[in-house]
Amino acid sequence: MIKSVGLWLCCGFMICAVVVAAETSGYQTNVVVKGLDNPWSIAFISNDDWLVTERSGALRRVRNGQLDPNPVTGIPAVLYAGQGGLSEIFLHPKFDVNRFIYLSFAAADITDKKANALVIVRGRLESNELTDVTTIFKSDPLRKTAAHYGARIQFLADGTMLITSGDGFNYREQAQSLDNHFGKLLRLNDDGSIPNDNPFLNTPGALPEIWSYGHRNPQGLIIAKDGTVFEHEHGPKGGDELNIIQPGKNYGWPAITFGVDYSGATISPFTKKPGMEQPIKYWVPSIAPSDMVLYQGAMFPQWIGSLFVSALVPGDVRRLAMSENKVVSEDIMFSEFGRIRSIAEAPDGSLILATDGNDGSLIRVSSDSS
Amino acid sequence: MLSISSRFLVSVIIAMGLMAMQTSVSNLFWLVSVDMPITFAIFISTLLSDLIGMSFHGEVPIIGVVLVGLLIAFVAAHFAVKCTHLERVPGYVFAGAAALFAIVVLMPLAFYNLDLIAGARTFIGKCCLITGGALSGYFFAVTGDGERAHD
Repeated sequence: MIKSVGLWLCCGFMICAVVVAAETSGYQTNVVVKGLDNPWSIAFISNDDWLVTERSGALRRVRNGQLDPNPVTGIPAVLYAGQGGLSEIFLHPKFDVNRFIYLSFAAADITDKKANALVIVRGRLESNELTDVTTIFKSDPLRKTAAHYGARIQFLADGTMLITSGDGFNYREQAQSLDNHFGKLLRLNDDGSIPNDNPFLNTPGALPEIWSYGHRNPQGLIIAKDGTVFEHEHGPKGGDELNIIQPGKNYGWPAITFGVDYSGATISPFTKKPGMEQPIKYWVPSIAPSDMVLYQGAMFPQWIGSLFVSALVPGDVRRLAMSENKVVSEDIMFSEFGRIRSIAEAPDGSLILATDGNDGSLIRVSSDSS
Repeated sequence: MLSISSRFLVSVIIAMGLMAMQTSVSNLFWLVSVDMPITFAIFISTLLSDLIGMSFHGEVPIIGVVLVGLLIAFVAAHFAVKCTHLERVPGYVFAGAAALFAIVVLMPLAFYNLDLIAGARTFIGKCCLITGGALSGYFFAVTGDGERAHD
């Protein structure tokens, strides 16, 4: 009698486990494109027409799930070294009308070939060619290193754009000074001019395009419908951060940090200080957060409002369930694909993952009923 | 008289200790400059944690890099002293300095100019670290003065 009750209980538990697993997954993954050379960013013209940057300098097009063998022409020369290369692609909010796209990349300086900068250009995508290419931003001062560019772009609801600019690795202390672009979030108009309501516009010695400062290498930037700006940045050895950005605020790097240097040395013994903002979440050890989306699609109603953070180490995606701008839970997903360089939400609500490396893939995550 | 391996290990510890100290001091000086409250206790604990952290907890344990660098340099110095008229002390001083020069000046060139040792990001910092290598070579040379008789 006891034996048979036990058997029935076991069967019951197993059935429950299978049902729960099916309900919690509810998605399928399929590789759409293979063989990309270090894909870095994805933008969607439509559900069937995607643009993908390759860090080596090409802008590729994926139409109806097929990689166009001919890259978009007219892309400026990039510095492909270290962490540098062609990085972000972002469509103008009125792309359907003006055909403007924005690209960020590392570029060697014309006069000092050993130095380079983060550059943002705007161009018009006509057919498969980028025309009317104009440089709207070049970071200052130049850097000798090929690391920590940041390089993400997002548009605010007022039509201005935010740009993340990394600390250049060797120049971390400059993230605390307002006279340079290292370790900053910057706000520009869509033509590169400076909005007249930026927070440091009237601060003597400060660059007027600075929106916030004290950042390390911000590679995740997303703006919620209510205007909340979420940003994540790579920490050193430990101390990756997820922040809510407010104009004029200091996010502390490197005066406060939850990480230590790659050498094992202390960067700062402090993790907080009045006047410096705290992250809403940090990771020790590091996950190397590379990109982020705030899910709003119809395909996965259970994920609406979650932040999806792609990570390079050990390689997965973190789904952060949010409530009142606080992280309430963290799920690790898609760890079977290794290092994830970018994540984006397609117009149909599917998620597109880009794997890192010189044989990168685009992986579509869709509802298993779609 | 210390054995050659003991002298070598002490030389490595000298170079490593000076490197950790220079890194700590340069970081803490900057923190003071931005009004971070560095007390004497924080100063001492940072020195100690950097010595341990840089020796054993880095992405690449720097003590291993210093050890290999000094080993190569001192072996080269040994043969240079033996085969030429090079004086023993300046030979090892130069060898120690050359080892640290390779670590703080040449190694970053292989990593797109990234200075993984934060204290080495300035010219003065590089000079300090190279001087630390020279001091470790000096220690190795002067504590083994009796060796020449056995060469």
